[in-house]
Amino acid sequence: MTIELNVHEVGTSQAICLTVNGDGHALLVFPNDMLLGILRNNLQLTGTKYGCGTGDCCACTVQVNGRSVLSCLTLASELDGAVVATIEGLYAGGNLHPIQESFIEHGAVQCGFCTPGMIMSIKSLLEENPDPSEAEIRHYLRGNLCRCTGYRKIVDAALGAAKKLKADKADG
Amino acid sequence: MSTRVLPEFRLIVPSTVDEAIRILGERQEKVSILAGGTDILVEMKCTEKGAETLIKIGRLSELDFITYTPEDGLSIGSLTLVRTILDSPIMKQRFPLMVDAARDFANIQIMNMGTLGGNVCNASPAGDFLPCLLAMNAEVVLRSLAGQRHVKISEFFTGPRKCQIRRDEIAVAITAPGQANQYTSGFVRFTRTAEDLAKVSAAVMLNVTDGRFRDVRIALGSVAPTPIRVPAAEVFLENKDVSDAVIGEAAIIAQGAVSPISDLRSTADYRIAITRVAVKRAIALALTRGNAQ
Repeated sequence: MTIELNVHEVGTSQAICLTVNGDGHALLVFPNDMLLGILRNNLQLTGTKYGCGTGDCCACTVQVNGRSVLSCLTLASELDGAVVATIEGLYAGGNLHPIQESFIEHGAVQCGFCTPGMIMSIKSLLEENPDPSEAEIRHYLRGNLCRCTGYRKIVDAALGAAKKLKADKADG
Repeated sequence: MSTRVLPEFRLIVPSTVDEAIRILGERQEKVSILAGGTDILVEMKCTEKGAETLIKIGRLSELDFITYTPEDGLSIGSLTLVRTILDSPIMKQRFPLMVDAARDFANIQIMNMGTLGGNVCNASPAGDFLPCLLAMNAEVVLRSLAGQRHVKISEFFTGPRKCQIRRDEIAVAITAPGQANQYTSGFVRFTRTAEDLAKVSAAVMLNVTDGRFRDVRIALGSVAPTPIRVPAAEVFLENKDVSDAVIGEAAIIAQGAVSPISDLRSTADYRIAITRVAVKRAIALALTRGNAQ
């Protein structure tokens, strides 16, 4: 039996195809390319932020195949065929996403650096649990750090977004 | 140090466990195993240690499972995500201490990436699942070209970030005995902030029959070079009537077994003091649940 191994040598790239916010991309990536760098440098999607690079701040949160992950610790080479959602994908047809609207209404943005990660985490939360309590929101967002420490407004915005999304669904 | 850049490395992506084992057995150079990546990639960034060979096993679905029968016991695939443990009905019913550990594990994103096998093989004294597995009398199943062997979790950890796994082995599963008796269990941790590593953690698994403690297992994390059991406290509780007084005494005995360090998270003195509280609370949590049926 011959086994075909997938070996990526130092300095050699491989081709991957991934979908980002609904658009297909074919890319050449190196073994040490992280998703975050691909998004920011190759695809010019700079909404996703580089914070710590070590999984401690969650500023780089995106969704891969529907689940929140850290793009600073996700190897791009693993993502052949993956579906990625970033903050840029929330703005559709000239309209902000209800979570984004709620952030504006509640003044939940201070310096703004944590905001894309916060919003992507809240998107995942509300997809898993459309009606979270304040405690559930705080627990879910425990990894997303805001160094302006504006957590109160961010939690309010998440509660407001949940209401909006429920109302949209009822109208829908 | 720039955590923006990951040093270069050679990446091997096998499609089966057998392939992975063959590579580990045949390659001359040091090969590190990449599962969820939430520890090893951080370490590579921080130490700027590059040009290694990594073997990516994180996507091998054959190592992603949780099974339980009273006869065969529990078996969890090493690549089971922390998130999967949190959501597992088997774990909720039989091993709620593992669900306690999963619930507060780092953050949601890491829970969606990190694996149980990674947590075990990384062998951090602060690994949240490790005291739980000690209390469960778990075993690590290691596979290599030479075959498969089981190592008791109580013998698996040999020092901070050191364990019994050989270079040519992959941890394929974690097992724990079935419950002929009915057990209850609980896990608590003390941290600076919600997403931080534990300063002190305690896991207990025990049976209560006719108001008496039976088969008590108490394990602690972050208070010694490895996660530890505290047999003196376990023996003390055996066959004693359940009461706050005996629980308090057992917690004081547990304090005598610890040898913590001072670091940026806590001082040794504080860790010793809080060990008593952690043990009391873990036992109290287990008692609120009652024996699983």
